[in-house]
Amino acid sequence: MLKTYEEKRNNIKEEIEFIGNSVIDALESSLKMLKNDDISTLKEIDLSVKKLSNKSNEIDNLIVTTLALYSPEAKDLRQMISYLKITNELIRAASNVKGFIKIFRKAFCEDLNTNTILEFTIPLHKSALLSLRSAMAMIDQENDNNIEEKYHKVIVEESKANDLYAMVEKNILKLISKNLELSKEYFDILSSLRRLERTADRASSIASLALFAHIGGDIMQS
Amino acid sequence: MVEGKIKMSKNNKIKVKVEELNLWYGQNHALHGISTDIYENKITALIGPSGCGKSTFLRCLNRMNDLISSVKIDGSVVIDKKNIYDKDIDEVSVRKKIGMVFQQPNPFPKSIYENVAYAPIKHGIVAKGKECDELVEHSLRKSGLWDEVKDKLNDPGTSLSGGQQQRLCIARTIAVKPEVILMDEPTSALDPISTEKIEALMLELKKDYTIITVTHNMQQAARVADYTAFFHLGKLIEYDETETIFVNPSNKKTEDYITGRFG
Repeated sequence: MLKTYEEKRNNIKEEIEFIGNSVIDALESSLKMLKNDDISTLKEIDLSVKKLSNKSNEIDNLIVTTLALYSPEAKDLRQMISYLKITNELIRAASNVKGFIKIFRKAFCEDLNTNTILEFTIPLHKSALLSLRSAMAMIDQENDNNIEEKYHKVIVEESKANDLYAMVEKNILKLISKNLELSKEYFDILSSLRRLERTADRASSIASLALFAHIGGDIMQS
Repeated sequence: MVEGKIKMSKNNKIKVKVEELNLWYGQNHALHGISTDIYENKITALIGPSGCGKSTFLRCLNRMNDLISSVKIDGSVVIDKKNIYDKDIDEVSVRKKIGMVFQQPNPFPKSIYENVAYAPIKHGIVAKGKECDELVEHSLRKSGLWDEVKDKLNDPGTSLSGGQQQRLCIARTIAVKPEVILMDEPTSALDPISTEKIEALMLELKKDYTIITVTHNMQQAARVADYTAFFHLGKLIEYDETETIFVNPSNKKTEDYITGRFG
């Protein structure tokens, strides 16, 4: 492939990494605040889904142009198609993270059983972060072993996130049954945690796409 | 977009300005009022089905069509503010300023060295000796051939592979220090590896030269050209940035052609 194609591909990859890093930064900041029990500062996290969507549209148009001009084949084609779908997954992840931060911050209060909530929220959050971080790291990998290792890490973290969500859901439902007047707040907390669990799902989807780009086969998205 | 008109660009310096160019082969009106600007240090690709006039147009740019007795041309081709069809213009000087690379590599039946050195010596650009040696090396380096031929400069040019011969022809073109390089399907006789080398070379050469290339390979135009002009039945149908032509062409004929619906 020509140098001009390599430049375009690297540019696309860098832009995708920019979106991914923005979401990861937001997750890292929010995890730190949760660990410090400093929930009110969650509002300071700056994650604009609109800006990232605009960036994603720019990337998608760049991909369309690159496909039209260079007609990539085999691995090059798989990469471009993966990038096109990964931008979409990242915007969905960004939207989930933004939703978590907003809803959790509003619903979390001293009246709730904060110990139980944080006991599950922090590991769930950690799994969402680790899965997304590992999925994004796959995009820049060339080594087969590293890619598969990271892929398995994403799958493990996603699975952990699913289990943790199931557990927190069960516990919160118990808390609701004991304290019905706080049911709205508890349901909102649950809704926010669901978004974290979905972030891990999106990470898993990104990992599958990165694996498809590298190894081939059929496109598999969760 | 109106046929024969072009969208004006964008802060690029015009190298060649073509205005109302008409060409007849005897009674056959082959080019119809072509007006367009070709930009400096850019690659412009001319595409279109066989017989659409793209090679005829290319050959107008260095007065190659003058060699055909039945040809009649009107209109102007202005390069650096001078119409090359003015009566006081010598066509040899035009062809020195505007080099050409053909479809089939056509080295002279001489050594690699002489293939490059012949025209510069003939035009008095350099004298034989060190000055000429330097020019030969420079031209072969520019054409990406030096490392492959530096130890066999006295071998015949025809002993090289097809791709190397084409790069030798490019070196020969560069040696007379042209400002514009015309390429008429420069890779159609080459294998994919040699084609890629020529395409990479074109991208390098555009830093120093203005390149106009005719190609039947749509993907080649897409890959290397900054601007693409689509010709049909002797008319310039659409001319724009390559990205626009291949992603969002304005004219249905262009879209139909590049998507393989005709031609």
